[in-house]
Amino acid sequence: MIPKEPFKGVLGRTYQESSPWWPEPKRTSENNPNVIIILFDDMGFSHLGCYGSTIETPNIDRLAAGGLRYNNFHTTDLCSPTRACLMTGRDHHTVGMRSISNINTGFPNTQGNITPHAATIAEMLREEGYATFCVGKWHLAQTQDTSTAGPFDQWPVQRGFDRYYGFLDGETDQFYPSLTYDNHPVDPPFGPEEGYHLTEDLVDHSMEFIRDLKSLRPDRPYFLYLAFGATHAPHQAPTEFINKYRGRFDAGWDVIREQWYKRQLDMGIIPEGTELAPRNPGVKPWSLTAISIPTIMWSDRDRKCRWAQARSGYVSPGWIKKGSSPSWLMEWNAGPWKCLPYCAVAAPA
Amino acid sequence: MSIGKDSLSPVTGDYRAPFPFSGTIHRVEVTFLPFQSPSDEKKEARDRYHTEMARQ
Repeated sequence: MIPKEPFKGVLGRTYQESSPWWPEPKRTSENNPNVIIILFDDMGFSHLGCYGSTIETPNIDRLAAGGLRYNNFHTTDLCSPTRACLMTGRDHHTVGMRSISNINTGFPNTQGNITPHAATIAEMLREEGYATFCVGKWHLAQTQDTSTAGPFDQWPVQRGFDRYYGFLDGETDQFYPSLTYDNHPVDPPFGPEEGYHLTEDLVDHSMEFIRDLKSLRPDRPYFLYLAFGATHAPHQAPTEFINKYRGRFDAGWDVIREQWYKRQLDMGIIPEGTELAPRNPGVKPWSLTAISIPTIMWSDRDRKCRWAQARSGYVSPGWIKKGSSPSWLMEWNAGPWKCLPYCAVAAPA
Repeated sequence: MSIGKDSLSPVTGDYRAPFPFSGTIHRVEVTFLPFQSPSDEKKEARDRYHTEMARQ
């Protein structure tokens, strides 16, 4: 790396009168743990098992059992602003991301990019000697700048990340995604006929980046920011994951949310005396949704049940398929470094 | 925009995405029609904003 400090050696007239100098490289220590942020998208506060859901998330639940659960993380209700806050630790208006990166109003608070005057966590950790990996959804570059023509200055690789594999825009097909690898477009490695799903592909590439680092430099810590497309639209999950939830939500959203609310109270996720929020404006009581008529195409109610099944199936694939325990997280904990996995749930983001 | 292939999940199982065009595409011409009036342009911007926000 080109040193930023001025040369501190001696430049004499001859070699004998000169002395070389090398800047002291950043030394990391066991006080520098590996850091992983795993971000889900548009996931509800109660959608994980360890937060009261009946959706099965055994690996996440196991992580939670060995750590801490926070219950007061607030999002901005939109993707890019929430991610801008997470990346910079600052208010999204201040860093130029009032709304999604698709919007640039021409005013400083809504530029569609994070201002270069605010550093991302990756930029800061890289200065301290960390390897930095971004996998999955970015949605922090202006939409018109996400083609193969760039400009690339707001892509992950130029906002502090050494490596990138994911999709630059707000959403993508989970079976046929539009992918970017570092700074260039790539096709998915294989198709859904061979079992492809983006969630699993993102986990595979996270492991690849960590392996590339730790197999050669076990002493260097890493920062991994893994942002799944799940569970943002399109709600596309492998069929076997959708089918396992068949019938589980037929009671409808009013009954299910009441169940999850009670579970949260029992688990202490929400304090005693918390009232369940009313339905969002525009959401009908379940009893008023249309009931199916067998000879006609799916009714409104059938469709909504199917969506709930798809969304539930959407949560799990990368975790279930990669082993019964999150061993891949622990696998590359070479040396004395501790791994601090941190699951952030953005709801909705 | 996909040219000569279907990039997303296919709408029917009768073909396998991306089902690329098997010939050679020599030239693609895209023409953007000008707005008829400033209010058309404003309406387009407003519609585009609502579409993007609805996807979030």
